[in-house]
Amino acid sequence: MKILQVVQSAYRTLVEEQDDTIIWLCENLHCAGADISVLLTGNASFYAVQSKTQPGVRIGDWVQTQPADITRDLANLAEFNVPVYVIKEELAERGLLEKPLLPGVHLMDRRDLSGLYDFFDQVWQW
Amino acid sequence: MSSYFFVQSLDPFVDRATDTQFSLMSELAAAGNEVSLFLVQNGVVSAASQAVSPEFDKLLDAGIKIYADKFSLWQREIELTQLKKHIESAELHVVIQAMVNGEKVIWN
Amino acid sequence: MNQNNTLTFAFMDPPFESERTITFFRLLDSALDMGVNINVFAYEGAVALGFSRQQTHGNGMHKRDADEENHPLTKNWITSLRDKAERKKLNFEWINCGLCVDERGVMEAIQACSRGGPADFWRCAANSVNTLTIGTR
Repeated sequence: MKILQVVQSAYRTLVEEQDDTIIWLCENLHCAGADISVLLTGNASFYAVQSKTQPGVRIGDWVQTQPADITRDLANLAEFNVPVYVIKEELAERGLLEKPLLPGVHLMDRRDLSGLYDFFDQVWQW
Repeated sequence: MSSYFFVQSLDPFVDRATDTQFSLMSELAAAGNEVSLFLVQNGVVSAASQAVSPEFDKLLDAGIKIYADKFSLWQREIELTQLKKHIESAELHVVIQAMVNGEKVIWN
Repeated sequence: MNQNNTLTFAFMDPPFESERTITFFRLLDSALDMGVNINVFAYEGAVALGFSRQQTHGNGMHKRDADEENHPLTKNWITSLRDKAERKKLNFEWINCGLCVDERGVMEAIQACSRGGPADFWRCAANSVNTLTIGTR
């Protein structure tokens, strides 16, 4: 069973698990045996061109020492051979098209989206 | 070809991604897939005949089966007679049936 | 109906903040009405749906005490669905993400909820005819 994981919500990364919780879940599902691919959409498109660890926050005297590292998490997916897709038009409308994509992230045209959806048995939109 | 069943809880007036989702439904239908749409929560707002929602309106003649959740309509006092053409009011059982049938059921 | 009549749901919202909570529970109720076995993976804020310390309260603006107000509690909805499943001889498995429980301090869950993780979610999904994920926004 092939499953497309559609990640849309972004940047809750500094408080919930100190990562993107759905990317984290995807890593876990892969390790548990699921055959998955990931589509970064909406503002999660930013993840495809992220180059640094997220900035940690300071709240009062509390200082964050382990902020989210989305680049590392996407590198993990690439190492697991989990395909990750991002839509060209969604990068363009956010002014991100000129930025280099992270290794393992595949750029696709929006017009090919229906073909991508067709390839999978289930689509889990988060 | 596949069967898609979208559950649309967000509306295009607040959430811009809703129009993108409607476009995807049109494209999937145009590619020959069987596409159904179940409007629920604020998703039913587009179904009212006076609602201005051009991307949604394109779905009405796209061969897509469109349902509107009776409970959500009732909450918003949208009468069945106020619905746009080709929209059928329905219970959530329709969503469960689509899942049991093995359709690709996608929540937005 | 398909021979495998088990469905899995993943839900992420906390108890009282979103209309999605109502639709999600209505979906589960509909599934039981249709004779479907249910698995739930409660992720993130959804682990508080089964928190046993939820309490009803009166509401001065409504001029009603706690009994009269009869405030909905999601822990009671879960118990009610579990009881309905039992009456209909259907399976009802509710798994709370353990890490999400810990960080929220909602360890005291009602009996109908168990503790697990993503591997349990995958076990449920792999053995179901279909899975619906309802993300938070």
